[in-house]
Amino acid sequence: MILDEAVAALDKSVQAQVLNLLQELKAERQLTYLFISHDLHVVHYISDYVMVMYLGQVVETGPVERIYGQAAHPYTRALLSAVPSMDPDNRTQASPLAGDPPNPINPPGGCRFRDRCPHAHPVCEARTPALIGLAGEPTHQAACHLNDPASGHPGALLETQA
Amino acid sequence: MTPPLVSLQDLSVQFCGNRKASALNAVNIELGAGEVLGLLGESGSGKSVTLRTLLRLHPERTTQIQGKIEVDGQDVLALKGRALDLYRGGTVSMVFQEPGLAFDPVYTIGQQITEAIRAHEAIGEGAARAQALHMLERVQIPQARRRFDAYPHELSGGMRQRAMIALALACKPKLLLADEPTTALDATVQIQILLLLRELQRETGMSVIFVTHDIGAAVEVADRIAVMYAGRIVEQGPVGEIVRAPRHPYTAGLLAATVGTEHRGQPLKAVPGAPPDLAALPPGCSFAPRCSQASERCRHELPPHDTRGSRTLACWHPMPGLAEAA
Repeated sequence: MILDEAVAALDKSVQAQVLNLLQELKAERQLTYLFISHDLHVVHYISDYVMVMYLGQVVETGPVERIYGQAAHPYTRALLSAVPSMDPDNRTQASPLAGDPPNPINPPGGCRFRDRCPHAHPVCEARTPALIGLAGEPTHQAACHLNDPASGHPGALLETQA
Repeated sequence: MTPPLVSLQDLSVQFCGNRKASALNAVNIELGAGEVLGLLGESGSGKSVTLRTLLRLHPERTTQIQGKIEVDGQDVLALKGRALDLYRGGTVSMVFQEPGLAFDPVYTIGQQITEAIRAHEAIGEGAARAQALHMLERVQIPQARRRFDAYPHELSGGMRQRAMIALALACKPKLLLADEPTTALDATVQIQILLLLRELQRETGMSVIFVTHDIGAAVEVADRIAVMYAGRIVEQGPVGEIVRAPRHPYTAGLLAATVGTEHRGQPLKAVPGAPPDLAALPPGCSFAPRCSQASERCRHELPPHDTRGSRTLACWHPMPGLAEAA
């Protein structure tokens, strides 16, 4: 079953009812869900695997706990830290990303995220990063030069050691 | 003590069409200068009606308004003609949820902001254009000079919402009404707009009423939160107290139903049922049919607003507070 933003327009109390219903139906009928959403809490709640897309390309994919615990793509990390804080004494001070996604009619060459990426380097413009499996967890893939020691990105080695 | 900037007293609004719907029921809100109030609730709870009534945007023929609205010493319900025009946009201004619909598609962003400034101030075209451009820069629109001559459809959603904020603030209002300004935006853009609103509020010292159904967004910007249900404010208080120790069962339910990281693999604590029909509200507490704490009294008697210190609560059986629970 494909669910395209199925709970996005619902109020919180009703959203919880629908999410519970979806979980029950899944267990009862052995359903497979392709759940499209921009609500990070809901994605975390319902998914087993997560695929993060940016400007028409997959930037990262993997098991839900890996994505939420050890995100390997700078866009995924920015997305996760853009969730509003629930603690009034500890409000978000700086926005993780500036600007809007670029126009898909004329996307930037190389890595499509490089215009907004805090780690952008000339190599990101020269070569498009491929979606590659990460060390130790081949099901967790990311398309970023930082995760590929052979990419020529100066930050790459540091990242893999950390 | 200085009088509050905004004061709504027992404000009730009914829409009379084929059926009579009670959209607001005896709403009381007081807001000081420079304060940010988060108005939290679900669809149909009366959040947007409150904002629209504050701007007198409802058609007079089909709307019955009782109670009193005072903003900056003016009796808003008595305003007419030119005074009402100056009040709208001059004293109070609004940022809408969907800036794509709020802007006129056939004029450029710059033309629309310039026009708004000239409608309120006796200044020349050139000076107004310079002010409008300055506003676009203040809301951090990159390449403001180029975007000045752009049509609304040429801007991305985030840029349009920034331009909407520039338009709303162009005439230096004392009160900004923000109606779900970030709901239609992506997560990374939403947080930028929230931070921008907070920054502009601090810079200008204006008061803000921020309507949202996203508790996280309210926590980011608000000093106080008022929770609405079926046209009534059921709970009101400082943001930290409301989030940490909700007293009204509806507030508690709303917080519990918010999906968090810790909920994976367990069913969510949903609030059962659906909001009541505003044309046929139950005689007692309107949340009683969905409430786990409800007693016979809740179904027949409307709970009064009980104010203690900075908190107001309308419930016969409130949840234990932090002090009582400890």
